[in-house]
Amino acid sequence: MGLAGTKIKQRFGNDPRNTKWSNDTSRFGHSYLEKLGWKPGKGLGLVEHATTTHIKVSLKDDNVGLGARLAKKQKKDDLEEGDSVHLDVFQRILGRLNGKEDKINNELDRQRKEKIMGKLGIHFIKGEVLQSTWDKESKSITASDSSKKSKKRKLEDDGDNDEDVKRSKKDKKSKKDKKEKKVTKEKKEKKDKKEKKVKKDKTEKKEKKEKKEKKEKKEKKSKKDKSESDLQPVVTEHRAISTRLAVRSRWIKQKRASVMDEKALNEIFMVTN
Amino acid sequence: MSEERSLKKQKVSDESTAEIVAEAAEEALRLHPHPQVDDTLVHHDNGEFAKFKRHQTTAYDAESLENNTINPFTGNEFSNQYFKILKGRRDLPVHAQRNEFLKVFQSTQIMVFVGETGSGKTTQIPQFVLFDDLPHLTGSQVACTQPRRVAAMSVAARVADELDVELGQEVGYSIRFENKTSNKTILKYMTDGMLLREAMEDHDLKRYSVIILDEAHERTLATDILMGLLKQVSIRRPDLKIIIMSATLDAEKFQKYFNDAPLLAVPGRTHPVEIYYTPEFQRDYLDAAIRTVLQIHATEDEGDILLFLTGEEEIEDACRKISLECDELIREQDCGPVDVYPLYGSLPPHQQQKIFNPAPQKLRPNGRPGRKIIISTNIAETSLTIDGIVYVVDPGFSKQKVYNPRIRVESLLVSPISKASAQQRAGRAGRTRPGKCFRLYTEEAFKKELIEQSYPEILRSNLASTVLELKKLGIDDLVHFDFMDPPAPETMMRALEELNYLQCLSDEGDLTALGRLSSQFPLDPMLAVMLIGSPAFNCSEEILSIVSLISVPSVFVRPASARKRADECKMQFAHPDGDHVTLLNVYEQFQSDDALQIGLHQWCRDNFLSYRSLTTAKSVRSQLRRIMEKFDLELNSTSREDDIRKALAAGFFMQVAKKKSGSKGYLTIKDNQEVLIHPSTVLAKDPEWVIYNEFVLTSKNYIRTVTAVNPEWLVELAPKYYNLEHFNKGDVKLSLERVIDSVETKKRVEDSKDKKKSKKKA
Repeated sequence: MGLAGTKIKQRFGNDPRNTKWSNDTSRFGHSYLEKLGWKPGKGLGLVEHATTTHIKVSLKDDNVGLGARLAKKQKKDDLEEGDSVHLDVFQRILGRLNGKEDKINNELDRQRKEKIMGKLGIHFIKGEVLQSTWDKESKSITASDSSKKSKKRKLEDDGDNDEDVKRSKKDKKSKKDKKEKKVTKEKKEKKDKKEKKVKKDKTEKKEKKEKKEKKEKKEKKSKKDKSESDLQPVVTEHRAISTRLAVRSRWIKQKRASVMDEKALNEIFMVTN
Repeated sequence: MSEERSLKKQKVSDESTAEIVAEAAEEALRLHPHPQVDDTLVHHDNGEFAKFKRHQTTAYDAESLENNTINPFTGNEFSNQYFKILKGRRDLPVHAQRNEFLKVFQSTQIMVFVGETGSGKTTQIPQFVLFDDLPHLTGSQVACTQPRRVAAMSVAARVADELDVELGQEVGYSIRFENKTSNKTILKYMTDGMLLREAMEDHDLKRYSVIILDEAHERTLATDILMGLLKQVSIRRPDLKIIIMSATLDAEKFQKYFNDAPLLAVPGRTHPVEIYYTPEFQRDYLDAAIRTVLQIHATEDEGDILLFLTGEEEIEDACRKISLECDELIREQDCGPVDVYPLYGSLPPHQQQKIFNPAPQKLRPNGRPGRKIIISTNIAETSLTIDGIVYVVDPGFSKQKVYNPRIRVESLLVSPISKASAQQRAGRAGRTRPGKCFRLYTEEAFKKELIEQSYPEILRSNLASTVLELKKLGIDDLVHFDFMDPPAPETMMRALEELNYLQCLSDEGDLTALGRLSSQFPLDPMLAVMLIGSPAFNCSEEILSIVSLISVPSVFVRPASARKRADECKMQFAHPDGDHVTLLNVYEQFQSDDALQIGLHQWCRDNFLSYRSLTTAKSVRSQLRRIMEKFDLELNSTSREDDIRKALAAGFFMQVAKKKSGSKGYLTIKDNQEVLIHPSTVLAKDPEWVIYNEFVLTSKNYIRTVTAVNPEWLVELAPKYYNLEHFNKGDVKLSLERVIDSVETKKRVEDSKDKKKSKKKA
């Protein structure tokens, strides 16, 4: 939240976790369980996975959505850091120096659009399709990807190759279809592989995943443009939602527009051609 | 002489009043037992099943009887309605696999049956069992448990129709406050809690030949205990058959738990649901949820929307905002009309029913179609099925119960749901046709932040009543009981200690008379003990009312639009000593002639009280009163408020807070947690010592429903708990020492008075 966030003062007592109670082994409960053969530090029951502590839940007193913690971790990736308007200008320059201008340009444009649209409506990326997990024939749990595979094959026949994504409101509908198919096609392949692995061996899962992710991360960025389904935010909706966010977004938009404008930028940096 | 007497007194004070009452009641029952109710089972048998060999029948056999004109269970002719229903039943997915089911059922003692929602398992499987197990020929019954009362009732009614019998006769149900069965009953739907209660009296459940645990995947506390219990019973009773029914997930876990029991699965009738994620996390999930709903309404095809939120306040707020924004959309964008309905547990039934209304009509003949938007807590996740839902919006949170044994707080907290829950929510979109589920989090968050399965209730609850039940079930070794998911040791310890302080368990860990009696009440042991002890304070009628009122949702209504007036109304009932007596005032007024004259509904509205809570409290009260009568507990009444507060202190002595000296706020006794009294209290001043009903966990810790008490009572009523050796040095200990001193001086004075008197007499 930073400095602008509301300050919440919280006072803790001397022993908020009541360790006095839990460290006292002469209590009736403790001695009784020990009498029955329980050993401190162990769980109860006959199974091995028995829990040894109670469930701990952190108190949620805001409306932040799921995944905020993940987002924080990722921030070290500077392309992802869209918040600072000035930085992406340098990204462009750096990108040119590295010879990846187009890629970075596209990514920045995409981010800019997303930022603006994101404030007004909500984007969604298509994920898996949930289907009945029971296979009629074999009467067993189908590893939910068999159904997807057949679908995927069908989709590949359609094979459409429009690489660049421009959002024009007119052909929204037809676009939507195409894109969704694409998403399924491309995302699925990865996921299928992944899922299978996950199911097969859980222990190996983590390592492999990490490796994969690293690889993926590079590719993902370019792919992201395509993989966007637009359950479309209608621009006019922005009037309908007269929240504080909307006002702010307009302000940001203006600010950003001025920076994006080459002339304006040149003026800012006092560059004369 | 005097030494002897004081020794005697000491001994008496060791036993609480409740314990004495309980022992007396038990003794009285032993001497004058209740007349045995004749509950032998009488079943119809006209030889319809003569050709059937038990556990060797086939689907064909059963169907031929079902297709006959005579009802084999009653001997009456089938009605036309019956055949209509029968036709529909034959289309259910489970029916196709009837033979397979029978084969597995016959070949094994315990089986796991998996059927998705819509497969018809809850209504059909018990009937399949009836035709094969033939309980009416062996004088036994088939039980099918449900986690919820409503489900048990409605399913029983449905099955009675399907079998063309009267509800309560051959097919019946048994729930906490209602038993609709007869000695003819062969199929009994019941809550899992009720079966557990029956098991406390009859450890082997001899009355049943087949027990079906339905909705086992919900893992309620009672189902978990029942599974552990049935695992033991199945060894003692090889003739008992057990079916565990569950939705898809977790099925393997059940199989493994029951020694690799065979599994049979039936597909449900569900349509594919496309799942969408957001590309990045939402800064405000509530705002995002509202916008998503509006966006769906503005851009997607016909179909109703279901939005999951966490609580009443959030839901009502969202309802208001969405209705407003939709009005604007209709005006400016020519969108279709919308009906927005809230749905949560404490909503009155007639309002809950509204969710089944059809979506609104188009405004104009060629206008956009209307839409129904339902905003619900997670009760729409499993318990309630609403057809017509095509879009589900899932922010990924729900309110879940958690228990912290260290500070002894059970609270409902907003926390992320599990993956299983998220899938369940998504599945709700595919009931009638292919649907879409919009998750307001990223796919990465789904994979990394959500746990696989929701924690079973046994890991999230205070186990005091469970431990009491287990003890009553004859399970003494709590450490080696085969829990499917064993609870945390500290939670178990807390439960044992609470029961020990309440004198429900002796120091050796055995059940006392008070413990046995407490387990008869469907209440938290603390409340049960308070109720049992109350006749000694001449106020059992009053304590009955108070206990009923605190076991129902709050009776005070505080609408956002009229907070001030609601608070003023509440003050009419206020009692200077605290909230418990205030509750009692409310109940007495509710029962008064004045209220009746105005009309109870109107009176409740006028006074900002919840009619529903008060009537529920009334029925709970009469139920508890019946139990008290059954065990010969005296019903008496007093006009002295001090007696009532003393009786309260005798039960709530473990939930006491003392005012901190020199600063604001209170400190809970023994657990030393800093708390504040909840602003909803009627207490005008801050008393030194208070008992509290609830510890509410938010960013500030509050105690709610508080009453001032005299510390001397606490020391007298619960000397074991207030043993000074167990207290840390400090403020609380110092004042307790003072209190104990003054109590002892008083005693000495009284003793010497007694002596003088006896001397005089001599």
